[in-house]
Amino acid sequence: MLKNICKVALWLSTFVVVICRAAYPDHTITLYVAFSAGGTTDVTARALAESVEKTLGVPIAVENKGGGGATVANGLLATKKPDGYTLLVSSTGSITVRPLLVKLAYSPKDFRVLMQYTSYIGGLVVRNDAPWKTVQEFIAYAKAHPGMTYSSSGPHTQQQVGVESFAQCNGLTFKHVPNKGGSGANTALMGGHVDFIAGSGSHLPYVEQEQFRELISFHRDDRDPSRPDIPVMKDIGCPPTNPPNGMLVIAPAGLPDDIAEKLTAAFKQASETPEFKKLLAKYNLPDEYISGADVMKGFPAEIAWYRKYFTNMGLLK
Amino acid sequence: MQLIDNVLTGFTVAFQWHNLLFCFVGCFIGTLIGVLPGLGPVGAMSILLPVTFGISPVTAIIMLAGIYYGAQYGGSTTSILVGIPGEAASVVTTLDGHQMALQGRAGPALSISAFGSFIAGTIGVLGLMLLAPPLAKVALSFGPPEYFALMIMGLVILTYLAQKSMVKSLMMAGVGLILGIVGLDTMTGLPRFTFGVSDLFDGVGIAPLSMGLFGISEILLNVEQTIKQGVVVDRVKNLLPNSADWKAAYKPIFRGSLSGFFLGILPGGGAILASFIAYGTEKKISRTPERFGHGAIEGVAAPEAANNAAAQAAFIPLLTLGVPANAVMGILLGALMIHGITPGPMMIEKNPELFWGTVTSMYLGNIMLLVLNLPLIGLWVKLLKVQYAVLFPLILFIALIGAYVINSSEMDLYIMLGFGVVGYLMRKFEYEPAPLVLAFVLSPILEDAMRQSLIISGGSLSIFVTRPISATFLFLAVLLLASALLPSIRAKRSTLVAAADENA
Amino acid sequence: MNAERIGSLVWMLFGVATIYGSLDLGLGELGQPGSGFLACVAGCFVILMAVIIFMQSYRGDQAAKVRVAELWVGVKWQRTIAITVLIALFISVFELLGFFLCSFALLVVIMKWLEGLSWKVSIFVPAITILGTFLLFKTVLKISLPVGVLGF
Repeated sequence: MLKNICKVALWLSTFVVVICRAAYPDHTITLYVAFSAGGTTDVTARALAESVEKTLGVPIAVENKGGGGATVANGLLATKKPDGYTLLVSSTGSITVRPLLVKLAYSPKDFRVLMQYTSYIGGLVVRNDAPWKTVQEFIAYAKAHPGMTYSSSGPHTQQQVGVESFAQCNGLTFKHVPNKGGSGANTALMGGHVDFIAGSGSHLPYVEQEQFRELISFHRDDRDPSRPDIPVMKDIGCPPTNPPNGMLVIAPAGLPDDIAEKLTAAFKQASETPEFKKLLAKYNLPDEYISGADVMKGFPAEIAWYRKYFTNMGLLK
Repeated sequence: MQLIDNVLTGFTVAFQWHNLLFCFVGCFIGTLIGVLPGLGPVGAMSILLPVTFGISPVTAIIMLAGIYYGAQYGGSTTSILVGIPGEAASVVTTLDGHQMALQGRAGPALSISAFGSFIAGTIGVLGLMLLAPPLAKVALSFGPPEYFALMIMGLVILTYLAQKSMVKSLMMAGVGLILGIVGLDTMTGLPRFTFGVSDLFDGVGIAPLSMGLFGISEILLNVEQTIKQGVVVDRVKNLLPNSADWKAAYKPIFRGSLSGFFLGILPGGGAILASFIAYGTEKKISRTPERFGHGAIEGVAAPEAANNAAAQAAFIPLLTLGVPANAVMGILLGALMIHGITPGPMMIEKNPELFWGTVTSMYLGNIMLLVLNLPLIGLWVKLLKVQYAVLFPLILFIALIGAYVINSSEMDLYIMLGFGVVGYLMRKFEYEPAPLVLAFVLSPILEDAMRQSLIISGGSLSIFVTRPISATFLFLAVLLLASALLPSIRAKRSTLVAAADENA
Repeated sequence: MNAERIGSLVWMLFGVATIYGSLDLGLGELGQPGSGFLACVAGCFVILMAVIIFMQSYRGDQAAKVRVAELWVGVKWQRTIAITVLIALFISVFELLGFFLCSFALLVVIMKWLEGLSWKVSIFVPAITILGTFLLFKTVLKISLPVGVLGF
């Protein structure tokens, strides 16, 4: 009698467990965005969320949790349960690069990357009325006048490192005037308070409107097909700049494989719709999908690159 | 001529029924957000952003804009009624506004605030229509040295806020400067004074800080007393301001509108600075400055006008140059991009109906807000009659929830409580919170501007005086400081002379 | 203990702590200020002001002679402490137990236990307010409030 009851109980509990697992997702998924509303990451994340909502059939609540260059949101996600109901759209750099400089509440092994849907771009941007029309003219002038000032969206951001790599390759010295975010840098350039900026993507509308001119694009191996007259580092004989940051969809580490697959499939599908591709094109972001596994495989190399870079700059011992 | 044509185009757009509807929705939500302490327009706009995906860009911007300047109207309500700043820009309004409420004059305070906001908003819209492009160029010419000089001037004006002890107020300013440093250093990207708490990487939030210092501390002080009846007893007279009020208030409203408008254009400057400077200016100009802090209506009219004018002016850099002046404009920028519109100098030419439609709709929005807010005044004043024992737990609850939802952050609540206790002690020991808050707001701008300027100049301090705008502001600051100190020097001298005469 | 003196000593300590922290951050020099430059300057300024207040407390007039204990004479300071503790408790369990439970508990406790209001008021008013606030945030503003471990 007892044996039968135990058997039934065991069977029932497995049944319940299977039901629970098979029923993913059954309630709202929270998708955090590690940057403030209205920015590139936020807008693209919300577009993805809208598609994924339809695919998965549950509401996706998008919440902005900007701050500290995505570190606050990363720290928050690291504390959440890996049950597939809390996700985050963040940047590679905040996971691989930041922990090298600052003691943070997380490290790369706290996360499981589901996928990367695009990467951040950057370039050297000057005002349209500046005397340098090509990057060669710029380099010549910079050699003759060391200490040109430039602004960026913050110290050690992908684009600022790009400028420094550019400087190292060409034997130039610049003065970095940090700012808070891309629009601060854009404003500084527009007002003529600095000589050039490390454009971080938000400069593109101004290039379109012919207020700014991009002299060279970092982080690309080949020229942008939509803007073929802008050279890349290869064209001036320089090694590629730092490994580009991407926008990632991540979950806490320990996420079960079946849930991860379901989510990745849904997000991948969302990133392949024509509307999303159009959105990326508007921001001039490359439309490239990289699987979570591949992204995480690339982490060690990226961390090593930055460790070398920071040691060279004297920021790490 | 061209302008009239544009304005007419604008009105035809603004009067389309769906634009009117969304304008009203925006204004309504904005007022609600403003009244709820803590949660600001940024939070509401980012949540409602997806709603705008399906509608036309003009309608989207009209609604989002309505939320923003609507919040400025509502923000003064809690400041006046319960002394909790509803919006960071309404901190200054608590100083005299709440005092007026305690004297039974909540009605006039709220009305002057509404009317002042309306007049300022209208002036702002006019300025937007007529002066947008040239003013935007002026805003661009403000680089780090100019911001530094402006902040120094702001600090000097801060000294005018002092009511009792000047020394104590100056010390509070110092403390505020230090509190503003908490967070990630813009220059190095490294955390300062965060004690390992990642929630503090973005610094102490201005909302929890001011809500705690002003609002929670007042609750803590009040529960000590045996207050049985409503905060405002039966001396609630009229709901509308009388003619003496109007006479006193109309000039501050105009002055506040002007200063608010010009300060609102500057990216990063904004409504808080404008409201403090408007208040400080009025107190300085007034023949009876000792009334300030005890219910002077000028102390409500000027800051409220200033923060509304600043809200309108903040649109200028965005609509003319594509440069967002603050976080709210950043969201609007994103919204425009989603709709395929690239903000910038070409935008007005390529999408005239967007610019003029938005601007004229703002004018309609201001009217809607006045109509919305005035009748509510009677309701708010009735609320004050509720027994304090019932009222304050509810106020506390609203404050806690309002502060929490800004960032879904538990830390913000602890900050609010912590500063509530600090504010309570400060009031006991007679230290004033207002200078602390102003210095706190100025601190990051001041420091970043100083360090950026010195990088640009290569370490030379002369950059601050060789650039004309920066030199002008510094000169003004010195003048203002001297005029604040001279009377007391003269007084000391006369007492010394008198004493010398006696002993002779 | 003189109130002015104790107060100024507290701020002096704050100033000293700030300067200590700022030295860690690096001061740089006047032409190239470091991370801790402004903190150090402000900290010194605060200490200076505190010293002035301390000196001023020795002057002759009444205002400077207030003793710390006098500040709390005749007021029910126990209630202030009670409220503070209650709020702190609320914050600590807010995310754990959820919006409804914590808010209701806080309001009922304050109204009934602290203020001695009737059961009718203590239950009815919080219930309406909490429900109303929830609806407002959920429908109009579309903001989510914490759901506790108990699922609501």
